[in-house]
Amino acid sequence: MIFYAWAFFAFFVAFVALYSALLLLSAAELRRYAARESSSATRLMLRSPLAPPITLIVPAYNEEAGIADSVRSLLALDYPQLEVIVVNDGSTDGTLQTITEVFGLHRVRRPTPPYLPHEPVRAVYAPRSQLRLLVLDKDNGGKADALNAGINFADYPLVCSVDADSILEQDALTKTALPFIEDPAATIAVGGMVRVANGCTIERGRVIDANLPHSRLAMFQVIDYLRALFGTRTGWSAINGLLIISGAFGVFRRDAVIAAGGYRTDTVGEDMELVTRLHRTCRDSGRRYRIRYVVHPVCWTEAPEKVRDLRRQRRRWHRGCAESLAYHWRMMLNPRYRAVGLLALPAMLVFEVLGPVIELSGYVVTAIAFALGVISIDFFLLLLALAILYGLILTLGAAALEDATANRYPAWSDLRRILLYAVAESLGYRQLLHIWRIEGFWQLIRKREWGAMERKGLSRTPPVAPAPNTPAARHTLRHP
Amino acid sequence: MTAAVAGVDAALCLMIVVLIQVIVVVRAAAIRRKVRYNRLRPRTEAAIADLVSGGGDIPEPRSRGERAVLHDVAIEALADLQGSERDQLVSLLRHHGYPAEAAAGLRAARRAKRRRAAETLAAIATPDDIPILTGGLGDRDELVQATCARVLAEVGGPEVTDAVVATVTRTMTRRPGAAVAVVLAIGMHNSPALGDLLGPDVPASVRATAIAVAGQLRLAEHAPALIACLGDRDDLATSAAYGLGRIGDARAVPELARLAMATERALPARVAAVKALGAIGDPAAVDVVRQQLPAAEWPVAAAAAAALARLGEAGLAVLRNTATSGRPELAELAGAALGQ
Repeated sequence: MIFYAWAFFAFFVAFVALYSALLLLSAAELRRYAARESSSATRLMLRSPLAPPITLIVPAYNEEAGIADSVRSLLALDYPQLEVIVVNDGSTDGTLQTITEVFGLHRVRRPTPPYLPHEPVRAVYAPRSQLRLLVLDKDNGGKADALNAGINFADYPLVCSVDADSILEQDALTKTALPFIEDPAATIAVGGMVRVANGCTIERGRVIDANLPHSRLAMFQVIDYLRALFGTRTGWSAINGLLIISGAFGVFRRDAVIAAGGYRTDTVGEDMELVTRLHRTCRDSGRRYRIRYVVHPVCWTEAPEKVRDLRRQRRRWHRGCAESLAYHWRMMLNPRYRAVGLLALPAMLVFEVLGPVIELSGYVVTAIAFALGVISIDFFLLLLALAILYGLILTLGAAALEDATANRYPAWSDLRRILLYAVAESLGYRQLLHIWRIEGFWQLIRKREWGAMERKGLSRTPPVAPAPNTPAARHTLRHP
Repeated sequence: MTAAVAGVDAALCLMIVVLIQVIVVVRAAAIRRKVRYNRLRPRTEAAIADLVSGGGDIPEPRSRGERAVLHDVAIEALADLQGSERDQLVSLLRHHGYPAEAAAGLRAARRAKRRRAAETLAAIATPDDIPILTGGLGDRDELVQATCARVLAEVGGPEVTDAVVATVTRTMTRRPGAAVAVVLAIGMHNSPALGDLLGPDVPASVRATAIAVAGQLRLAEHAPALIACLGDRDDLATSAAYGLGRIGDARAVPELARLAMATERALPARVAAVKALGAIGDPAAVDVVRQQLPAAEWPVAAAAAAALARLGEAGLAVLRNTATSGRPELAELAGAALGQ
């Protein structure tokens, strides 16, 4: 019991030290970013022919209802040179027919470049006009496979993966390109901010009015996203230790992704796995590189509003996270991989993968100790308060950073709700997430498959929900 | 033990209260600022629109707030204005003392203030400001140095070229993005000076940028320097080949052909050379490009097929033959190139 108490205490102290440091690093990084963003040099570069052209890759599986709006809004993004590649990943609905009809596409002869392996491409479609759009129709192979096909066909040096049902803000690409302009030789990947779109007013593929969600479950996820993106990910980015770039929105150097071997198709956490592999290949080859995260580029995505969907999503994320660590366990505590090997991966293992087990067992052991009379009720409650209060400080710190930089929820009522949910999440929601994550870990061992999330749809046009237990599962659930 | 945990809890509670207060105070201040800004902004925008359309004047701002709003709106507008409209707005800002304010700001102790001053000068500088900007090149902050260098490249003459070029070399390592913007400004406003950055004695990172700028801006006067770069490091050769393709100078064909055939060179360099031969469109390159069509490396073969389609009737004839009689993978490449 004594040993466990000390181990738990050490875990808590390490957690506090690391996440407090990350919060401070985030604050410093955000301050630096604000200074760079306003530079006229950046504006000049973005308007010049030196702005790096970007290929947007949109994997689509049964997206008939929203694909036309989605592509239209992507083609209208504010960026000097971009092309859109839609990869129809063996959809069983009218996705291909819709997009070919709406954009007047015709079949073209285009050999398949052999850089990355993927399921066969059945046909390639392009418009007769000058529109920079290409549609690949391929056999079903999952999201990672579709992205690999898109990367093969991309013409431009930067590729951006975007989910067909996510919405990018007009200037999202401009802001994501900033690190590539600042340090073109070293920057190989940039992740952008992903926000919860539930509750927002959306018209024709654009967010007209950003609001907090009405759903309680989605609101808890807003708090999750705030803490993860402002409090943690920005901090990891500051020390080049970022391990996750959301599958919903990330920009990569095409040659770096190809050199690393593209997306793995045998994991559910292909986004995290790719970023970890990029770290690995760059360090192994001695290349100077940076993987960055910037908070201003915004991609809006729909968060699950049903317990069943959220449970499935979190189990899947956890499994992806554990798989990625398993693939790259040799990097762990290896000084060759600097911040990634010495800090990010061990932290991911201890606080993310094993954290739920440790925290829940802490509750159980404390309860047993209380039942056996080893600790008093006062001490038990004080310990519980300690965990809740520190969690609240992290959330408030992240909320303060959001307020000072993006301030997307400016109303006083928004602040009240954020504070309320920040307190409430420690009283049941967080513990529930931990249980689901442990389930995910268990399912990794048993290698079970997952179904798909039921979506309400972001657009006012009603979407078609993917059928559960189909290949759509590999297209719908992703990291923030 | 209980007392210690209670103490930590109390400290955390205190931190939470302080944090909430900070958030509330900062948010309230931001809202006040925003309200004031939003009240002044439309009026200022309308006044600037009147001014540039020749219909009005803007009186000297009375408060610091008004002055800041006029500054921000005018700088934003200047990014989109050209010619006489731009001159009118710049002269108004000069009349209201903004350059003098920026010059004073450039000597401030706070880095943020110096950066802001340099940004202001970047928007409104004229040749009159050359002495101030030259002073900015000696700033201890690389971003201020690079901003001043960029403005000097735009408004300065040959007398400041050496100082600007030296600043590029100095800032490229720590502020590559800002330094690239200076090279771009040199290419756009004082293109002969770009030659100083293309020589073999210039650091490779600076040279790579200058090569990219010369190519992207299609600066034909630098084609000989780019041709010389084809024999250099593979990354420089790649960039130079790409630039020569954009410039379209037929004098580059022999050197590009040599690079395309050099199997010991890096793949991107060979691909860029083949693409450049296609972009230049000189039929003299058909034979070299045809030899690359059966290359073992797919990117070279694909680039060769695409290039042949741009090399006139002789190139198209090669593609037609390959499409019907070549190996299946070559026939596919040739067929696709013919289709495009």
